[in-house]
Amino acid sequence: MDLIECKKMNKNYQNGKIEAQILKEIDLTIHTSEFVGITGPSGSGKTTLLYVLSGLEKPSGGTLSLFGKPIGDYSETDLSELRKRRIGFVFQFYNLVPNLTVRENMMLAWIIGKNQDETIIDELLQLVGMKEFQNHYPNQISGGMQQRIAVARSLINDPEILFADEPTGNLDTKNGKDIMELLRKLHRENGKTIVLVTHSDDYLQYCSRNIKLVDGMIVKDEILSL
Amino acid sequence: MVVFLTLTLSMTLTILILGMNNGFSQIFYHQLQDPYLNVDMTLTYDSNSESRILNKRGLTERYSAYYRFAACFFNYYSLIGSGDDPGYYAQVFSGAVIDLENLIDTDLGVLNDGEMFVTRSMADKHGLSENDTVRLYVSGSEVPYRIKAILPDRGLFAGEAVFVNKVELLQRLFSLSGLSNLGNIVYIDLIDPAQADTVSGLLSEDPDYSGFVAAPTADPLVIKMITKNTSALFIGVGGITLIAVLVVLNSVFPLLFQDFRQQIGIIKTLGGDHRFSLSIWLTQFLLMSMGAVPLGIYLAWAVFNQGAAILGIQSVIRLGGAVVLVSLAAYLLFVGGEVLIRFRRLIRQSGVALTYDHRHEWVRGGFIVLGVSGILFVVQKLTEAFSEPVNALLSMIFGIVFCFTLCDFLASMIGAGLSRKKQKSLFGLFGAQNLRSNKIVRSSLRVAMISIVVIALNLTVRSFIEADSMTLKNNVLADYFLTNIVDDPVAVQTQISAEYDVEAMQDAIIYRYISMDLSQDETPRRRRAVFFISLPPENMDAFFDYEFDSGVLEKLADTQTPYITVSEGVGKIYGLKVGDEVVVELGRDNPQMTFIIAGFIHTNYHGIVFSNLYRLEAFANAGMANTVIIKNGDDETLKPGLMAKYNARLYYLVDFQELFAEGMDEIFLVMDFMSLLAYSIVIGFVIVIINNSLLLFYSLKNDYAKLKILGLSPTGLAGQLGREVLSITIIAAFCSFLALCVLIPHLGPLMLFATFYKTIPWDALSTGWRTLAAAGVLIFSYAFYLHRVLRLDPITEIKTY
Repeated sequence: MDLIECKKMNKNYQNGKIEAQILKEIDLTIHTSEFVGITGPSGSGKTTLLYVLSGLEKPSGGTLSLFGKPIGDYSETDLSELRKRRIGFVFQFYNLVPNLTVRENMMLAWIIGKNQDETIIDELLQLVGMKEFQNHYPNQISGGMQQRIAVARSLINDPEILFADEPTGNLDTKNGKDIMELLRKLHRENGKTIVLVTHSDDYLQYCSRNIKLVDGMIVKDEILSL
Repeated sequence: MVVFLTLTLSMTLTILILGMNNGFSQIFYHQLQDPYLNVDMTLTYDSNSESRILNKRGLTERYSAYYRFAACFFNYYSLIGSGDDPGYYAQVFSGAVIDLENLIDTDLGVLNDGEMFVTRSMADKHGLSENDTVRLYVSGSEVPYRIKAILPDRGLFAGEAVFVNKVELLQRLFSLSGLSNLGNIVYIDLIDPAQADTVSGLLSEDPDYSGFVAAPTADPLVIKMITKNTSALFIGVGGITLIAVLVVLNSVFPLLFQDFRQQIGIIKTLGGDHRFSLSIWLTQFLLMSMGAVPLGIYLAWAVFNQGAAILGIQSVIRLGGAVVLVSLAAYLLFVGGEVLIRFRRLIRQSGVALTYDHRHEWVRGGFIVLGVSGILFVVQKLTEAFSEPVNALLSMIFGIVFCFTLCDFLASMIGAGLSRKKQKSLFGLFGAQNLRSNKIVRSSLRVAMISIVVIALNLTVRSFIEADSMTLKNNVLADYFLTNIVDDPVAVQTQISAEYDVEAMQDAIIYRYISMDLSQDETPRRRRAVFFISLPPENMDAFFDYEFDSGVLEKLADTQTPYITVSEGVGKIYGLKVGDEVVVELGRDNPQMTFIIAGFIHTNYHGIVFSNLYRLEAFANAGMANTVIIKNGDDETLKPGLMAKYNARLYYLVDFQELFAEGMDEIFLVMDFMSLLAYSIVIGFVIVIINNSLLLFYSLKNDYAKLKILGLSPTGLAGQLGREVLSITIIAAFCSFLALCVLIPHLGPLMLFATFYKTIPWDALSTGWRTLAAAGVLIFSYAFYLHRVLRLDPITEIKTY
């Protein structure tokens, strides 16, 4: 099934009088259970592409459909609902709420998702190996641990697709690999569709597909053998 | 922008409070002086003496070197009729045309007998035109005058007023000709370097003029007294406002330092010296202050001058160099102090630690301060070991500190309570945590609380001034005082009752503007009473509605010992108690007399004094009764009749209701000015609240962005924000209400520091309403905050994390 489809999609940013075209004529489709790695040099538009594909930003031109519905047909409330139920996010800088404990950060997403069963929090903490740290605050755990929490939080509402923007960018090699292994596990064992932005080609080994951007255009879109 | 606005407002409010005395002083000076134009002093009759007419010749012969002109007028109020209009009252100025020219600094033409000038105000009000005939009542007869010219209102010749030739008028009144030197007031324009005080002193020792009153037009003592009285009303409000300004300034710094600490950390890790960091920061504040300070000064200047314009003052009110310098010093001291203290804390941390995000730092509860301040407040109220103003000040300080820390305590407790609830909610998790531990949220709460207190306090004072002014009117039941009766007032009563149907009359002794020496030790402490009244106490209720201390009325019936009673406020201001002696000067025609304080009048009007002089046997045959107090029925002919009949005898009819109305016009004008001041402070704090909500927004926007990304809908977010705003408002309003309950009853005693006193009544309901009104402002101002959060672009926040 096609989860995301875009045709001749553009994205521009206005900076005063200057308009910069970040994405140019993007044609791509994300299918269910893909693990897509988006790579490219700095400033190529990788993160912008991620934000547009996830509905966090709207395209300036072309078409974009999320879950079979054009992006223009989604209201703000609909997009909130998407982020609540069908989309999860992991960011480079974790974006945990600093004055909530690990468990409370998980609970935040759980409450927003209007979930009933609190055991899912325990399960996810167990999955990412952070159960014993659930009463710690973010500034009391390492970056790698925080990122694992961020991953767990993104899964709380069992989303269909997970968007990860350089999730290892702030981590050392070992922690980075641990996160990637976690994502691989989610992809293989849980069938999650993952769209990952990374600056490191080393992490492509975890991906089933590589899309390479240069200067806002797709220069390569290839299936990778896992 | 937020910081710049906060700094500007802080400067403005500081100058308004510290410059209040100076501003009032100038305003009242101009209010008194401006109508007199070039006139520096007046020489006129003592209203408490029998002499009503003075002769200018002595001035011309002996004092001409001191003045440019001495315009001798005979002025009085008279009934005037025109057309079908039976009559209205206007001030009659009579003198030589040259005198009027000097008085109003305007060239005029010739004015013949039978002609008059009228003011534009009077002409407009009564539809008069040039060449119209008006009827002036002189010695019981109607005398026709032709309007020669209508003059624009200028100086003293303003309002409803006419001008006629004095010689002609005095001839009609006294059947004597050539009386150009006679009059009842002389307006004198002194030549530099002659001073009004000096010339007044010379005249008071001159046998021809010692029985008259020579005074500067703008008496510095009067100005000082009015200024002090007016400023005193704001002493409590001013103090609280200054504290609020400090709290507001303090609230700005955590946000600024949030970014700055990371900058310092990076500079440190790059090898930079921390002094370099400090210089950057101080430069930043200096640059902002270079805009904020002048703008703040200008805004304060604008408030005072707008207030002056309300009072019809054309002159420019200056802030005063000292006021600006002191305000600037206070501002720099505080801002500089905050920067240095916080900077010193920062540089003790490692460069790496400084680069961490410290937006959410645990806030300690301050429970010890809460407990100690509460205990101190209770102990203070129970013991009251110091003087009344000091007790009031201590109670206010302990009470405010308690309420402030209570704010923090409640936020902590509510936050903790909600966090522990088993049934989790977004507010219980997210909002409660912010209440519990977010420094910026706590600071915002304190600013909200103090802003509500300042707004409600200003509304209270404004409301009190209005209500207090009406009380004066309600306390006097009489309609008229026919005063300056030099013959038998009982006979006058008989005449009046024969012709008119009045409800009640009483002969009495009434002196105005009496000087009293209230000192109980070596320090001279003089005060003027506006009304010194003595009448049979058993008839007091018919004409006055005052409440006295128990036993006072009995003493006012005493025939042997001279007793006096003054207002409670005067008693507190001068530390008087029952049995103390007071020396009273009952005008130039009477000797000084010593009275004993019988007790106090329960009134906020400090200008009234009662005594038993009427009853004293020692003065039974002295003929001191000089007034008939009249309570009219519905007879509308009474006033014009009395004026027509007794003007010629130079009896003075005081229409108390009209006097009150005139006085009230002035009081309302002053009230309008004070309202402007109060509302400026209120508006300032409304802006502070809005500003503060923006600070809160900047602090929390990143967290709100996370909520949006997690899928919180706009409705959900609005609901969350609504609960947060409501919780902050409820906590702030509750603590503010408690603070106001402590502050308002102590405002009166606090004024004793300024040797003034007013009992400001406190009632829970009014205080509650005003707190709610101010809290409503708070909620309204958060609308902008809500709007900003709802329109937040989460990606922009995530990117700039």
